Amino acid sequence: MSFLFQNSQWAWALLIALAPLIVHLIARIMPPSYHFSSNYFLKQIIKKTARWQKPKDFLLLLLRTLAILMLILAILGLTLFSQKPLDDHQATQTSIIIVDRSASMMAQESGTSRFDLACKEAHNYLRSKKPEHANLVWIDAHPKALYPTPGTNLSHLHNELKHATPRPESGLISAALQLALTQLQSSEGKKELLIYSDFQATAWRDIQLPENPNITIRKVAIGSRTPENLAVLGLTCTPSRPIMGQNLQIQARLANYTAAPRRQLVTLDLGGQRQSTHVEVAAWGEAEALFQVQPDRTGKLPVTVALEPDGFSADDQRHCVIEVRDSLQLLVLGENTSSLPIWKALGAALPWLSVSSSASLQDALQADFVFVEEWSDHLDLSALIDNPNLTLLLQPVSPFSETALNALSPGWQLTDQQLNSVREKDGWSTLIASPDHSSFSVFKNGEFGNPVEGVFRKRFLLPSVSTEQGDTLVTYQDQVPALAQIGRHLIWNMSLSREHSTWSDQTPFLPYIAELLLSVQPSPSLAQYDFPPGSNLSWTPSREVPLGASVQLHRDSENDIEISKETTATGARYLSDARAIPGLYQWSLSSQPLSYTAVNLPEGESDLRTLNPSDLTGQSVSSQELLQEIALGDGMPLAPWLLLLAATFLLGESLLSNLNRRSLQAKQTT
Amino acid sequence: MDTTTHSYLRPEDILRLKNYEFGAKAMVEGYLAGKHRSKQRGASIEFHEYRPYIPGDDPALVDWRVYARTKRHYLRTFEQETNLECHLFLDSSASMGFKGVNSALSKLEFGSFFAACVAWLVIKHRDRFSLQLFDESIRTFLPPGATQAHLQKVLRALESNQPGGETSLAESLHRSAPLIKRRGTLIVISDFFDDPSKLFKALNPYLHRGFKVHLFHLLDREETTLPDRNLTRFIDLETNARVTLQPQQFRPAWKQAMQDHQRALRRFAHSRNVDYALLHTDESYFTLFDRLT
Repeated sequence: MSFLFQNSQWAWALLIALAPLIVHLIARIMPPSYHFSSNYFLKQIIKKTARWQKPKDFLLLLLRTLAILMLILAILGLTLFSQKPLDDHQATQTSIIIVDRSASMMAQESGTSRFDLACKEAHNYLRSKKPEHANLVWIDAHPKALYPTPGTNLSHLHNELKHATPRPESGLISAALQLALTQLQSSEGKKELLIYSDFQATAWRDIQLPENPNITIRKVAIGSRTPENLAVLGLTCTPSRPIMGQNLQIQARLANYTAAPRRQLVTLDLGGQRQSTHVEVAAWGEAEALFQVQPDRTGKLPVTVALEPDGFSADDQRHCVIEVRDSLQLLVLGENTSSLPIWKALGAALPWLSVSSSASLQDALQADFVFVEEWSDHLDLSALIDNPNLTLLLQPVSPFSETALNALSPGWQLTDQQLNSVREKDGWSTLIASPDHSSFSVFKNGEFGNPVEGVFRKRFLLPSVSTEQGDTLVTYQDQVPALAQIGRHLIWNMSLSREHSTWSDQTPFLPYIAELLLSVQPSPSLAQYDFPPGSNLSWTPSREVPLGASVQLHRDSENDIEISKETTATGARYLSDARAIPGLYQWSLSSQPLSYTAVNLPEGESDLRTLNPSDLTGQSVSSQELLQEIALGDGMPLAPWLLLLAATFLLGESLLSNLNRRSLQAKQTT
Repeated sequence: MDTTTHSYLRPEDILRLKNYEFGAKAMVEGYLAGKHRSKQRGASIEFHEYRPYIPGDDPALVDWRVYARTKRHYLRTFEQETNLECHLFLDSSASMGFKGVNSALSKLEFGSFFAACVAWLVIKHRDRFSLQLFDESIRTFLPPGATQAHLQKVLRALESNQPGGETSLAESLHRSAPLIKRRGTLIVISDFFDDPSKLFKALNPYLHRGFKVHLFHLLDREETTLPDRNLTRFIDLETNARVTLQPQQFRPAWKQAMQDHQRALRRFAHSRNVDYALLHTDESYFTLFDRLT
């Protein structure tokens, strides 16, 4: 700590503080004389009052001297510094301010958002510190700095802080830090990095701030409490590509970030079809809301699940898009498609099933189901096995291959006996091995007969399927697997041809195949319709846009969003100019909706709990401490305090002077 | 009476004093209203008047010849020539020389004016007047006289009187007692900066002898409130002792002390049937004449 006089040229005025003492001494030494009739009573009075009069006189003199001294010190501009004041030879100051404007900063505390508070405090810092060079870096989905290098124009930084808004997106903290540190490392002088953030636990938990001796890192925590929040964290539609009229199960995952259990009204909107339900969610817990709905039309349908609005509304809704079709596609793959007539007959009987055949693997990619008539290692089915958009029905053919089996799922070993099919004149019957499988649900009460009734005269002696590998749905009476599910694919060890089986002639065959196909129907993630907030939306039409037609993009019921078109090798692609925020976007062609895009708040942003910034590297300070430090570093003028002290001393002197008179007057009146 | 050359007896005072002739006779008649019988018989007794007998009067004073004529009892009253003596003690100590900043007269001058008026009034009515000027001792003693020449002496003594040393009223009274042979009126003019008990102890012999005592307490206004000054060194006029203080700070205590002193004087005076009056030098001394009735 050190003191400095701003107006040292008036230092001689300090002598004036001695004035009361000098006057007092002179008055004592050489007071004016007065011849009085008698000092008798005066002496008696002085004797009586000497005990308190002398200390009182001393105190009055002291108060007067101190009052004048305080006034003079105030005039001299006494200033307190926390360290030696900077002189012209000190290094310049470069400060980079990182402000978090990710979704959690939209949370409101006491009527103000965390973001507004952060901007205000950053603004106060810049105004107080006035670094020679400064820059501003935002933490959001695309961190960027205001200037390419720290600049001297602070007013633009102030303006940016004043007009900025938070963004409902996750923040790339590491990228923002890296950007700021890179700029600081190439700067001169004293380097300082300030981070204004709520230090949301889910975002900052795994962040490691670098330790650099040349850079002072300061963290200013914004927000003092955790606002209450309920959120829709996830939305799943099974199947994601249903057929019209099919039972669609929609599952919404809810979270309660409050300290009390909540009963929430959850609403579903499927392309205009609405349902609602109440769900109890435990404190700091999760729950699921389940809806069963049947789409009433084909095409891309938006799905929205919503909660009652709360203080943090960005996560009160969640969207997804499903594709509703009028039929499922089954392709019989192979040169020899003896089972094709059976499948054709099934396709004719099931209006939602469309059956075709092809020897091309490329054609198989377009189907929902691919019945591989001759499954062995001569076919490279790896592309089909890994394709989430289809389910394989794999019928082994001799010679079978262990390789083919291991391509489906590793860990198989086959004996020679198992490599070829066997025939039995009397055949084998089959048993249901997994009665709880969804394909058998309608057959449980026996009303529709035995779905696997029949005699099978040709089969492979496949090894048993372990529970880790999959699920055996049907076995032969001697436990040889007849129908097994590995992942979502089926090993089809049940011959369909009439030559080798009577199964297709049984009445329950048709309904069972229908149930079986629907139960193993692929439900791929329709990620092409999901975009993260902060990104630019894009859409590629499935067919060429006619000349003269215009493509529009709008969100909810708002105005059209500006889009641009680019031409790619695969055709035209449309891009939004602005970065997306959570909501449901509709792509239209001449006002006809063609597609949808769902933008949802990332799950981690809903938990508004913060962590202690002290757990991270660097100094944790409050905004007030920071400003105080700046004030001390730049010197804190003590004039207001000195004037206050002077006034206090003068008041004390006045009260003390009048004290004796008033007490004696009181005695006289009594 | 030739008084125009004397500064303490002003023509306007004389004119006003003529109205106080009654006051002089009243002094005399107060003596002769049947309360005190003159012990001096024979010479210079004049018939005054007849008055009706009141039960309790001395039957020896009844005029039987009047009774024989009227069958009523009457007393003869007599006027005794020169049976009143007025003794005036004027404090001439140094403290009496004090004159405040806003005052026209010092206390001694004020007292001298009053003393001159009393002297003129008494002598005019052929009564005897004595003057004592004292400080720590008797400085000037003019024995009782009733002539014009005596009045001139009194006035000259007053004019040549200057403030002296310390006050000792008690000592002066004590020393004067043998000099004052005949009882009468005793007037003391002083600032009474002295112990009241000592003063009244010194007055006891006079009171026992039947003197009518008047104590006229003379003060300057500044002595009542203390002068309005900053830090000042107060120099005692009598002792030359010095005290440095802020009058403003001590004013309330000073006022209280003065009031206590006056209260003590008043209490002593009342207990001994002594007349006490306080007068400031900025007031008219003629109010004191009213008290002399």
